[in-house]
Amino acid sequence: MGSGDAVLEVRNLSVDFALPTTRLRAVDNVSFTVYADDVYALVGESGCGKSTLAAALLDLVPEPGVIASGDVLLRGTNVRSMTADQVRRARMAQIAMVFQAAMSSFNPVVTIGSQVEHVLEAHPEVWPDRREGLEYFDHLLEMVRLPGSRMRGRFESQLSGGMKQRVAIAFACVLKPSILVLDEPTTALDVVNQRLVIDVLKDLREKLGVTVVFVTHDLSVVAELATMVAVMYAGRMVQIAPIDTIFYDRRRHPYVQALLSSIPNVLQPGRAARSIPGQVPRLDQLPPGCRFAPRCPLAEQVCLRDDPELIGDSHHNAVACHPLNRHNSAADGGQELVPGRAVNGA
Amino acid sequence: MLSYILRRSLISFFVIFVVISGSFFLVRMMPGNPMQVLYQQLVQQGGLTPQEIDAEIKVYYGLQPHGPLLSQYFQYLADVAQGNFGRSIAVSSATVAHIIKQALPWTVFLSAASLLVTFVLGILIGTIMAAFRKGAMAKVLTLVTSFFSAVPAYVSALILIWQVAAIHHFFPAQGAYSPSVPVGFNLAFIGSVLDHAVLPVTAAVITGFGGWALMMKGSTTSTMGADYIRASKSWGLTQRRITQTYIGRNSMLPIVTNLALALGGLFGGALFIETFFTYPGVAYYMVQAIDNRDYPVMMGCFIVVTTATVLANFLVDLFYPLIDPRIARPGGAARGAAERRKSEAAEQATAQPGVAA
Repeated sequence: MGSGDAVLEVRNLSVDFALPTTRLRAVDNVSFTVYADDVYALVGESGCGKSTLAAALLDLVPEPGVIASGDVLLRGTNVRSMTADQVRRARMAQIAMVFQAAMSSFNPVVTIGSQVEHVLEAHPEVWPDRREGLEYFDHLLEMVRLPGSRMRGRFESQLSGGMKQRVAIAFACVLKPSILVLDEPTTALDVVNQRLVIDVLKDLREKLGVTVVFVTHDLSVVAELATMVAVMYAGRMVQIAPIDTIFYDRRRHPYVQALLSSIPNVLQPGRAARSIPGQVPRLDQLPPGCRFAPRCPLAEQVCLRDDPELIGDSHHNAVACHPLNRHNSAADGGQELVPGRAVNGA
Repeated sequence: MLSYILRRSLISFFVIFVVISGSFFLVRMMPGNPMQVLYQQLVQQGGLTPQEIDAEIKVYYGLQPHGPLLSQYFQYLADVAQGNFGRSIAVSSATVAHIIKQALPWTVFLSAASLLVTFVLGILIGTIMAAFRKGAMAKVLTLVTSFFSAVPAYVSALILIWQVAAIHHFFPAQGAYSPSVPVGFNLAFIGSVLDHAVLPVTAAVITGFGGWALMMKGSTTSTMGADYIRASKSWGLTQRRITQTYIGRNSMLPIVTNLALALGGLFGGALFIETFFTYPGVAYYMVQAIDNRDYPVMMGCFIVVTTATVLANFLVDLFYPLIDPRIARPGGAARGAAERRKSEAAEQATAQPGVAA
């Protein structure tokens, strides 16, 4: 896992929302690297900053959000030092996005085919001959299991939700991007269409060699699709690790542990799903130390005081947690942590 | 499609029929009648006893209203169906058709000129407000447009008549053209018509442009916040393309609807404007007819206004699908939906047998 070239590198990225009275930091000092053959999942609860982070990759944070600091490197080129026109050209040609609102991300009064043409016209260097671009789009449509040429004459309103999501995915690939970013690709779809979208993404990755980065709160989709998982909590990255570490290794961040415990287990029907006590802190009322400390069963005094750093190699296991990191540095064993001097009780 | 037009035409005729019937009885229910209006006029002139006045009225009209209201109604319907709108009661020897034929061109000219200026100015200001919606200028413009859209037409008309016409004599405040110029296609006449149109048009624009501007601003702002605008940015489209095809076309949709409906209003004329500027349009005659209880002229004007509005609505329904494909084509609506369901089902069955099964 994680071999190949680094296609996307995010370094110390922070995104602020400038409100009339305050500035809220929605994404706080986040770093991660995506390699060519990763399927990268950004996981977290609503409001943890994962969608904002995805949008920040191509400077598409909706107002009043602004990138406060940090770098985004596309195959080594810093997006943050590009001119506006260079960023425009990189959009979709290098990183293509499928927004959470894929259902409404097409212009309702223009046919899908015309919108493909608008894209081709804006990026003449990718498909100098527009006809070839359109044929490639038909080919992509077939790859996402839709009847090719027939979709082009349609309007967005003539497609069902599941069809729209797949058309949006095919659409995003038309300029052969190296990275495909999907925000909640399976949310708002029924299970049949969820399955279909997951299969389609696996296919595209295999056949087109596109690196898939997706944002989700659904751990079952992560289990199906991802090879790398980055978990966010209240604007911070709390753990980055390969999928197996997240699901099978016990050295996970207490928040990740809690997330996993909140999923009902079909193999152990007797075991009830547990919700995480407390709430995600508001961005204007962040606790001083670790942001998860007030809800954490392992929290100690140091957690309430000091902000933990993300320590470790993300290809192995990088965690931002005081007790866990102390434990890891003491012995690289696979033991589950026993709450010791926990302040919240277990 | 043809059956749709037929159906809509029948509905339109029905609406016109209902309005004719309703206004026929409403008009008759108004206190007073043409005889009483004449009676009052003669009383005010003085010098006549009530008996003499009664006799005068009978001589003047040479008739007594006869027949019950219901039979008058059916008679009127039969006349209208044959294109006969009757004669004016107040203006002797004028048929209603003749009055309307004379008044309509003036109304259409004045309303069209007002609408054109109002619309262009409103859309322009609205677009500027939406484009620079964060700046101080947009705040000022919003305030100004809100203020003007709240000014009633009679206030703007009165202020213009008082300031521009009465005090400074910049433009005439009465009539459609100067009586001293020969009527016809000559420079003096056209100049006089334009000269006389300045104040009424200005009065209409002052009260009208604010509404269009605020509508345009609202429509554009909400379109700019749409998901597909953000998506189109992520596609790396040029700003020009996004503005034209993505923001522009979508934000114009509600504006086009309103414009089409405003076109229906062209024939009704602006009540206050035409009255204040004694502009000889449909609305002017309508108000006069109401004052004189001139039933046939009133009814004629109502029919013109109603027909124009109904026709405009009909045309909007007919042509709207061309600019907004989400509105099903007339007659094609059911087929479109069925087609979608069918293709979806076929797709599920053939493309992913594993999943569908």
